[in-house]
Amino acid sequence: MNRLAAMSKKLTIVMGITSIAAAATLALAPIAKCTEHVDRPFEWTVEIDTKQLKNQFQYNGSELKELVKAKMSYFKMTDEDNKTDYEDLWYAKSKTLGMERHHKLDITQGDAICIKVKHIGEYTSYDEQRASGKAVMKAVLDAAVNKNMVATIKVPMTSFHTIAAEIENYHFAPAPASTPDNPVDSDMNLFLESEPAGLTQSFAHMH
Amino acid sequence: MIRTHERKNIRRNSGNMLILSGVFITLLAVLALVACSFGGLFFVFNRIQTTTDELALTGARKLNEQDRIGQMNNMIARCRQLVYDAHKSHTYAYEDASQLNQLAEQLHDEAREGAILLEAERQKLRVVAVNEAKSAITERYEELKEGHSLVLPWLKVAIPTTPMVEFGYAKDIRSNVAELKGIDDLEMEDNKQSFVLTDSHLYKENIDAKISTDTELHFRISSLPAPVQSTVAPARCILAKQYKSLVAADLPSVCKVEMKLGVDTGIGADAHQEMKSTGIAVATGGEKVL
Repeated sequence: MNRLAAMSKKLTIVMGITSIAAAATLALAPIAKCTEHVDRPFEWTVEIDTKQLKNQFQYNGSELKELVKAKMSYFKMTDEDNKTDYEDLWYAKSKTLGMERHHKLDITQGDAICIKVKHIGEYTSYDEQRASGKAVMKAVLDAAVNKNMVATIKVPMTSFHTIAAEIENYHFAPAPASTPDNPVDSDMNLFLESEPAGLTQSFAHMH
Repeated sequence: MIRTHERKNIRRNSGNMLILSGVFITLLAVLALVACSFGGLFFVFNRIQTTTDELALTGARKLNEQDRIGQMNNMIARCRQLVYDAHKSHTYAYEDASQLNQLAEQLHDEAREGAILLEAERQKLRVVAVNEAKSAITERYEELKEGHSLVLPWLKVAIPTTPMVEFGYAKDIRSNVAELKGIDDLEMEDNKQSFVLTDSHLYKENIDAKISTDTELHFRISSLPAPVQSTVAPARCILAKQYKSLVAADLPSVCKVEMKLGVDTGIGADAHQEMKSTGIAVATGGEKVL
């Protein structure tokens, strides 16, 4: 009898912990929600390819050795093979160093865009992930200046959290996804999703 | 009587050749000694000049080792674009799109910080490049100096003095940075300020290419040979008249080495000479792109 009572007690504790964990997961759901598919239509994609450069600024005491290059290009969804080189950006230890523009942002004003991050190379360093986040914010600004709405930002699963943290550094805060039924009161919203699908996060601009 | 008188006036010729030969051989020996001395001097001068050129080339190669000066020039030009563009976006946001103002301002501040960091790194690179070039020259000098000492009956050559090193740039060598296009306003500004050469489309050498929107920031682009048809120019010796001293805190691209060498020719009591040779070499060229 005693053994049965003890087992029942243990079961109660385990169930209690499980319930708390489930409640916590539900509470945190708006911050990092698992989803399979998000339908956010866009006409253009701005692709950001990041790469850690070797053999740059190799001198004693150099602060610029760990250089990351972000290559930005864009294409219309109906014409994926016709990419236009937009600009290159360079970062050293997550500090923005330089930019070379190759072409104007010839995206039709008012069209929605998707910003897509890709890492070139087998290993992605933390600096490269942070640089990707900064390049995303540069693309967000350039798109906004060109009067384009950023429908979604697709990033590799491995960099999701670092890029999300970087976006927060630019006065954006995690928020529930803005939908027609539940609009978020913000002058600018961003939606981040991982590739492959699994993680999503909405952000609202905070003043 | 007559015969006796004639005999008295007739000299014997049998010893003349010996005297003439003696004089001739002595003259020949002196001439040979002089020729050896001058030939030796010529040989020694060529040798010291070769050594000086080699030391200058050693220093020049070190200056732009792994294209560090070329990369710095290229990044500075790209930093200008970044700051200019960030300022433009910030101005637009401030005037016409207040919701973007905070983001644009932050990106503008970051671009400015990048420019300040780059300028600090440029100054650091200047010190590193100069010190490393000097060390490389001293190291090579230590290897070569003993080979100069020479003692012959007619020629004594001392060890060359420690080389005096100077850094500068070469006349008519522009920068390695190709003109950046893509931002029309900045391109127009560059043409107005004559920062870019119309024929080669390279940025001029040793300019502070400040931008009108942010005159506090420095964008110094230094002289460095640009590649010709994608081929990087190797380090090479140049003429003394092409050498220019640096007037500002620009990155050096030319190394000038001066050495002196004591020489005794062995002719006369006061035949000590001091030879001076100068070697000037321009650094390995830079790439046009990053």
